[in-house]
Amino acid sequence: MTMSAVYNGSNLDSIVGEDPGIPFALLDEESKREIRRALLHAVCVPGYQVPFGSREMPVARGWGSGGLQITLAIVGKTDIVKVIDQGDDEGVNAVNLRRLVVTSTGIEESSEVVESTIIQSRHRIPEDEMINSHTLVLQVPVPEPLRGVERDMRELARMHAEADYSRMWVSLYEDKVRNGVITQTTGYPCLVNGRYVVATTPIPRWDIPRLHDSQFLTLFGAGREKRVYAIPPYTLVEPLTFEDVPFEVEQANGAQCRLCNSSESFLVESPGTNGDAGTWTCSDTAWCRARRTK
Amino acid sequence: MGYAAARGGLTAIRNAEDLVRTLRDMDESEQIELDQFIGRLRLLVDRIMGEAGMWEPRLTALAIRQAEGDHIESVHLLRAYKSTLPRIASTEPVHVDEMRLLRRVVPAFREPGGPQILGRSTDYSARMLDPRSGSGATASLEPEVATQIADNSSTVQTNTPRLMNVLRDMDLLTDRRRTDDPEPFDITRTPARPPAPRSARLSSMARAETGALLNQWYRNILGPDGYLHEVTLGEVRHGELPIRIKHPYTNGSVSIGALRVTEVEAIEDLNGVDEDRDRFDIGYGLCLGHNERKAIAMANLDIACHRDGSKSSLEQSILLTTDGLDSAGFLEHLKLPHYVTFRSMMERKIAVRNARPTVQKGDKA
Amino acid sequence: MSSTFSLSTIDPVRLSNAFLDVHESQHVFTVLLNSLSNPGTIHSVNQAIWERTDGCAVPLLALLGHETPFCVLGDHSEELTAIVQHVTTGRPSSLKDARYIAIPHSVTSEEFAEISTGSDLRPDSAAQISVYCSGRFSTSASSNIKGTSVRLSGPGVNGEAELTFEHIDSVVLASLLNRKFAFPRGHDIWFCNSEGQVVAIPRSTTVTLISSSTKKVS
Repeated sequence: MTMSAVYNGSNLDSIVGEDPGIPFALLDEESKREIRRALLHAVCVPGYQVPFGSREMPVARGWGSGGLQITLAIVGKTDIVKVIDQGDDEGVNAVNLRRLVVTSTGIEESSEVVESTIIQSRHRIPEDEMINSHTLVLQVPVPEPLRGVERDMRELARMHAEADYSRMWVSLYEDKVRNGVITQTTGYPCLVNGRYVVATTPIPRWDIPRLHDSQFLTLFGAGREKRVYAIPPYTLVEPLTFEDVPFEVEQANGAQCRLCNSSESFLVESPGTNGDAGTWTCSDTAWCRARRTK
Repeated sequence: MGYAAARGGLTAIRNAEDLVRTLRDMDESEQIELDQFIGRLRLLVDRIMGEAGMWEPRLTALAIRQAEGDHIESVHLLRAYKSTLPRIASTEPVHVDEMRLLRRVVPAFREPGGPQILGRSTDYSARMLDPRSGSGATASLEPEVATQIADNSSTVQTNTPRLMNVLRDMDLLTDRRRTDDPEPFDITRTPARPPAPRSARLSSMARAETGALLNQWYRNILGPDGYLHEVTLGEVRHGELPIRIKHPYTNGSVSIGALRVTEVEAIEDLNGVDEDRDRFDIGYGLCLGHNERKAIAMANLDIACHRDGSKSSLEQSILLTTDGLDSAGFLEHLKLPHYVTFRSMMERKIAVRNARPTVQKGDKA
Repeated sequence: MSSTFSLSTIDPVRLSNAFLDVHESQHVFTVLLNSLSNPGTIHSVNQAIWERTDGCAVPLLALLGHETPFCVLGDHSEELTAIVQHVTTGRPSSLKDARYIAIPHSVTSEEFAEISTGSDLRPDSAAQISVYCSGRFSTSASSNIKGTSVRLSGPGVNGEAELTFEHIDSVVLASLLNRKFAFPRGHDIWFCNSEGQVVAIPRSTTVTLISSSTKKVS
């Protein structure tokens, strides 16, 4: 069932809807092909940031223009798209991105992973299992994992070309020594296919293990910095850490979702007011809702 | 109560859009017609076209009106529209000497070859707020006469001798002319990264946000980031250039219109240890429309980059931090929900606290 | 490299058949992406497209854009090169400069050695190659296809996978078994056959020989 009727009356209709001037999936054919060629290189060199001629999109730079370009370049008539932000299908930016895809293609949308083929996400990997027929498109604010240790782009290019990640290791070591733990929060740097260190986007550490040896393809789009990269299925993805410092996901100390009681999903806190204790809810709203309606 | 936590994200968006559209389009004041932007706010239209990298005054006027005057939003509307359009042809290269001059000043010489035309400029006007401006009361010429002076299409205005050639004839200019003819770098198709060819640098600056370039200039030419440069301008020109394409059937050259540009040549005093110290060098700036401060900043930064020779991060700053959409978009993305990241950050704070030897384990989790 | 075929001399039916519309390009791209992301698995291009166009040039027809350098190998490739050029506005180039290459018949080792493997700084400057194979492909160990069998491992492969080619060009095979360049340099290759099947081996895949039709490896 198509949901595009839901968007009737929005300002996009008159521009996108029936207008023969706007191409299928917004981008002209040349742009789509350019993005596609970049993606094909990306999957052959997992973790390498492929430069591409990033086009300006109806969403601002920094707001998912890269993820959107990937989705628009790969989408076909029979795809079904899910778009989430912080795990929420109803986040306003997710809604905006999803309607851009749907109104410019006429395809169906869904909030359920099992019904979808393309899942575009900002900052989360859905809790539901994804299989080989799924493609995960992650929105990337900063694609450069070494940005904290080096600013000069020529030096950064050399470090990746020569797999010289020594300064990254030193920085993690100093972090551990200074703070007692590795303080990297989201976007934990990982070594992909034993070769490239990647910025995993601000997904929580909770989601990092999902990238490793997955059944699904993950594509990363950085529109502002004009790069794409990829992690194919069944690929080695190792969070950078030391032999005696196990990789840690976020600890919740027994907290449970106040709606579905889950303690096995990534939870986010709503602070209490007036001295009340905070409550927790699943970040993945569709997963939580499904659990409650089972 | 976050807007993400509310159901009905689409309703929220549509309400916001309705509010914007209604209050903007149904304001009590009179609607502004597109030709009013072009006729009475021409410098704004020119600036936005330059930053959008697209010459189309009417669409630009539409964008400015739709964006309620926000210049970043206006540029965004235009560039996003461009992304839906196929590129159907490339124009033939045109030499800037074909420019039909509307304005030309040469600060380096009192009597350069060719005319100095103050033209339509407020440079030497007194900056006194005039409540009568905008009404016909301050117009001192007949409109037809003013237009004729402004347009001034006598032939002497093209092929005006350049100061650069004067200096070359006096053997005071280093020779950086190329003998090859490489394809210019297309920043709309390939991201420019240092080290990049000069055409990448120039086209990035041509499309840069005017304030960003101005700021880069001020920081780098006069400090605090950079060096003290002796800066003299050679040419400052504003004028019209023809647009020509190859006819698809006859293969002949066809003029399909014209656009205006601002062009600047900046003279650089070479005084470095490894430089040609008895000569000058030239920096170049060119941008769409009438935008002198941008073209001047461009010319100075062009030569500063060349002289820097990739020693500092100047090239990277210019290529990667001066685009208005990139910088503003990324800044404002901070308004998006970040509660997953924040949750992870809070968890690490507690982990750090727990890892300290003085903290009792079992205290607040 | 100029084509001796101009618009007026190309077979117009062949030319118009070579145009892939928006949805056809997307479909072919999906096959190319899925096959490279899952090396050794067999994918199929829509019969209607495959029968209409020129076999192993289909990836080029789907992917090339304005001035994308490409090369079609082989003695009688001029018309196909001209068709691809006119349909995509890609730029016919030498083997060395091409980013997309079609090998409809065979390739010599000298020719293959010229094909770009990219650089460590820019692995995306490597060429991606479409090779035509007569005969079938099989991933099943129990298949009755006899030919060259290889074992694949690496990104996109679940553990190890077996792939059998009824026929595979010996030069191409040799390049897979004996990768001369350290990753990330290398070639990415799509193999396609007359049935519209596509199987891909990117440069990230480790390839070892199990058996060949001429030689059994114990």
